[in-house]
Amino acid sequence: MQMNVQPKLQPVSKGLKHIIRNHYLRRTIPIYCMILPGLLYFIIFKYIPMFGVLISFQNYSPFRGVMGSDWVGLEHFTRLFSEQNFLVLLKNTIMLNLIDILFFFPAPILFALLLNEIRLKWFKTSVQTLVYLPHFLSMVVIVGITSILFSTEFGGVNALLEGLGLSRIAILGDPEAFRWIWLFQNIWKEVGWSAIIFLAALGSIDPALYEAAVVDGAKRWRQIWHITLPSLVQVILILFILRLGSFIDLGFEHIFLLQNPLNLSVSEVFDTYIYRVGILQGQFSYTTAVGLFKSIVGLVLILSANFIVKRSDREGVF
Amino acid sequence: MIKWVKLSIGLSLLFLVVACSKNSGGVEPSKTGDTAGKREVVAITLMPPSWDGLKWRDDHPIIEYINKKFDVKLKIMWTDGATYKDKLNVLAASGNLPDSYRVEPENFVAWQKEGAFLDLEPLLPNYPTLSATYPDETWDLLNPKGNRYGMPMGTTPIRDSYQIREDWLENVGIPMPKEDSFTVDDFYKIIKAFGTADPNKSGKKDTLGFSISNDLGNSTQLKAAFGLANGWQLVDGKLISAYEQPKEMKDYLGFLHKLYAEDLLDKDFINKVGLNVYGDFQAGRLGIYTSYSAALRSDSEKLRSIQPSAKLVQLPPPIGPSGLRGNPTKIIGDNKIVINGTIDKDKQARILEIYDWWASDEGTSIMLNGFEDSHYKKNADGNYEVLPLTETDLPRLMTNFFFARGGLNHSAFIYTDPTLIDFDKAYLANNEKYPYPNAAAGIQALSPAYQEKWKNLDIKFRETQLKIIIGKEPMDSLEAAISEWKTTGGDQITKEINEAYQTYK
Repeated sequence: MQMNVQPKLQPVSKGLKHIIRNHYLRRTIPIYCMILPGLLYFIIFKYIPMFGVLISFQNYSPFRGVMGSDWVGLEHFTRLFSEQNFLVLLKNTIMLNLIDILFFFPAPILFALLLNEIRLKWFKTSVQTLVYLPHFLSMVVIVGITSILFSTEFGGVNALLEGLGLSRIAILGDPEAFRWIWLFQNIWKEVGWSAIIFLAALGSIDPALYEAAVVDGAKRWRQIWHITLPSLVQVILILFILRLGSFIDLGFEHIFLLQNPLNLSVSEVFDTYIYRVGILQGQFSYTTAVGLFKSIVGLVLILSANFIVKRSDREGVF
Repeated sequence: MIKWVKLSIGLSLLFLVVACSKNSGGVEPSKTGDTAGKREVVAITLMPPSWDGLKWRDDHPIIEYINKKFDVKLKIMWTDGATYKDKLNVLAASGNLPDSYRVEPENFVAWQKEGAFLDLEPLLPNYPTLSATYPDETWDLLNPKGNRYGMPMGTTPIRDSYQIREDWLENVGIPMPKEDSFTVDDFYKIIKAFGTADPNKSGKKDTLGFSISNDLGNSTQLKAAFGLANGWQLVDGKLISAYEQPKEMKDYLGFLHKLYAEDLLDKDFINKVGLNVYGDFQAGRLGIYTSYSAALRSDSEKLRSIQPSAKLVQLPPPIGPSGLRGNPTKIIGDNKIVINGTIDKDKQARILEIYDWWASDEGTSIMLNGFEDSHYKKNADGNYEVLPLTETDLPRLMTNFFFARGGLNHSAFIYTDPTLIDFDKAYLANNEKYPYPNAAAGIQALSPAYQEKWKNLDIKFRETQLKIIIGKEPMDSLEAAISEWKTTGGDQITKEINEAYQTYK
């Protein structure tokens, strides 16, 4: 082995010059430079901060710093798993995610398929624009609009219901309604935007396939089932894996806005718990441990989903 | 798209960024040269909580005055009051705390052991005006013996009381309640009339009988009336939490449940925080709200723009079945203004100099009224008159939000009509007749279990309380909530607070 290495070391400097002189590489250097900002972003903002998880094994005191704080090993993780809240947090996080995957994930696919069947061009584009417009609204605005519309005392919806001789509904304060309000706000806000990628995939299907199907006597349903859906499967799978990667990560803002003291038993998830305990009560180490646990679950989920997809002879994310 | 270690990254990122940067607010040489007697200019950052988004412009005359007078470069980090504590905790995690800031009891106790604050005890004799502005027991509150890690933040202990729409009372034909005989039953009758008898004469049902926030705000007077402790009460030398008073708790929740069941309590209160309830009050939908005397004037004005006949008056707290009554009561000095213990001595001394001046007559006047001839002027008849610049400059802000000498009336400006000052005095005197103190105020933060568990226990218990109010659970579920509260941490907190109380008193 060593015998082999020795002679190869010799032409290194020569090789380097050769590489630089290499026409192909010289042409691509600017392109590599363009990657640099993104690469730096990930190193500085994603990789270096990972050392911060050290504090989840300490009793971190901001005034003594990471170096000066006492090490406590897995104490914070023990506390998390023995916490009365832990199962509630896990249950709520999983429930919201399941609802999201079952109902929100297929919504843009369905919407894209429906839109694809519309033959009037102007109608199709105007519907698409109208539906993706809410994407640009902030969640704060959407929650605000909902609470004005559905207010029990002075809300428009309830005034209408009463005018029709029906009784008022109090869905905003109802813990059972929380998950569905959350889901419908999500769908209303994002369905149009998320459908864009599916619409693009639909546009790339070879029209010849449909023509052939028509010749064979296939009706609309048959065409969707045998041509449109199979063409979408790869996109759907990749988005599904990516979605699983953020399985335990629900986004703090929306849930926090919808929370009230009555629905905490269904609405408290890891992110809001971290905020309440970590930021409001200043228990940094403990909440970092919660965050780390959350991340590990997310990592396991995305790796296994990717593995399963690859095993079924399709292309995964990585 | 994939957000990996979201929070840990956020926190540690802050830490790293700050650990890498040097403390930037150090000493910089004076630009005026080496004139004898001139000191080096020191950059100082203060972080007051700010409400309603109010703040000073960067070249505010008071900032420039202080800069010149004390050879400093003052930077004020106006921070939203509602999220002040979040911001402070994040800054602490990043090791980037300002030079002087406000802390609540929990952080004050937890951080003083870490050397976060300057110990003022040995320095105070050099600043006589500052040290004389609060009595010793206020200074000592929450401090270990022989140390004073912060300055008390001035508050008026019994500032608030119910205010009621007198015009609504007239419209529904109920006479103004007599102070000596105003019971909870009378209170209920008023609420019922406000909710059902069209008190604003609009011909529609557009008023609420009564409203509370989802943390039971605006109902402290009712807790007092039904004999519930304001947090903790002293029974035979032992501190007992309000959560261990099932009978009183039932009376209190029963009253609110009755209001809710009869459609007299805002049906949306579950989604409302204190500000939302105040909004309903200011919009003329609610006729009873807990507030202070200067707000009575400004809110009256606001309400008159909606309904010209609007009139707000102070309402004494209702008397409960056993003759108890009380107004919301705080203690002075459990919130502290602290000076960062890690900055250099010269800077600390300069900050103390500023506070010493601030507590003086001259300082207090400038920090409240601004400057003569720009914010107010003296008329020929010897009376003072406010000038338009006050509207935009708001000289009072730092006094309102941050530091003030003890016992100051924040709405007694030099140009204020003496009859209004008398009105404020009378309002406060009325309030002080009915104190409702928390026996453990200030010392609960000394219990580690309180620091760790109280918030969660509180939220759990609140859920049961709210469910009882809206009738989702029967009154009996209270027993289970109390025993759960006790076993999951309540007992431990009670024990620790009592120990702290024994050593503290």
